[in-house]
Amino acid sequence: MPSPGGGIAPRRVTSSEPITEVEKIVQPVGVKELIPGAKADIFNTALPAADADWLGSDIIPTNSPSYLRIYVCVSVAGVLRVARTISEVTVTEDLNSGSDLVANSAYMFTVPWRTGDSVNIRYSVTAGTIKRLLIEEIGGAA
Amino acid sequence: MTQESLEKLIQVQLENQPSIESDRFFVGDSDTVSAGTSLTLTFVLDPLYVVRLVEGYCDARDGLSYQWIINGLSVPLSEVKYYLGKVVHSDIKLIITNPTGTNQDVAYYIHGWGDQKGVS
Repeated sequence: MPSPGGGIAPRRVTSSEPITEVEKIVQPVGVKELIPGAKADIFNTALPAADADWLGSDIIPTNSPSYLRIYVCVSVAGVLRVARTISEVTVTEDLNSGSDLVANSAYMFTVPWRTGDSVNIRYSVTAGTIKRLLIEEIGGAA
Repeated sequence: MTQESLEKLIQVQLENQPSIESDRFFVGDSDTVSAGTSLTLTFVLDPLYVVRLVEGYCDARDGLSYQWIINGLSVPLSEVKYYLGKVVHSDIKLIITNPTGTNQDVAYYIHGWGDQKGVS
């Protein structure tokens, strides 16, 4: 490229850097399988008051996001609810589409949660027995 | 401290600090390490230089593992630092492994200096 004066303009030569380039290679390593984690269990215990928390304290996620697998069997019909608290605000979510669980029948529900959620379990009626409650945390999101 | 030991101390400092002719480098970037993958970064050395590494850094993220390979030795940390600059004889590698189910963004860099071989 000619310079304004008519001669050949000097070509700037960049001095070589100590590091010439960065190579990047991506390889698959697989996703670590998460073993189910026990979160809560109750056996053969009288129901608390209607819509009172079943667990002494809310449970919180160990892995986020992940799922709660809830197994439950109650001696009397009623609506099972998840009480979810985020930033001190609690909402209730009726399981089984809001229909009563059949007395003495076993049910299993999968409920998603993530960091920031704290969860408890409630039931719409009292005067019965929680035959079994098992809550496990399963799987991270893919 | 004796005169001799003081001179020796000064000599060590002079030999392990960059000079005016040294070429300092700072090479950094950021990447997304996808879930279930490992990212291997190779910082290729210019063979015309004696390269000294002062620091290698990578953002620390939950669930990720890190491995710096420096002169064939593995350092399983997200960050390495050499106060007097470590002479590196082979390409510097950083391996970031993400076995979690979530993509992770990380920023990383290395810095140090190099002296052209044969230049006093």
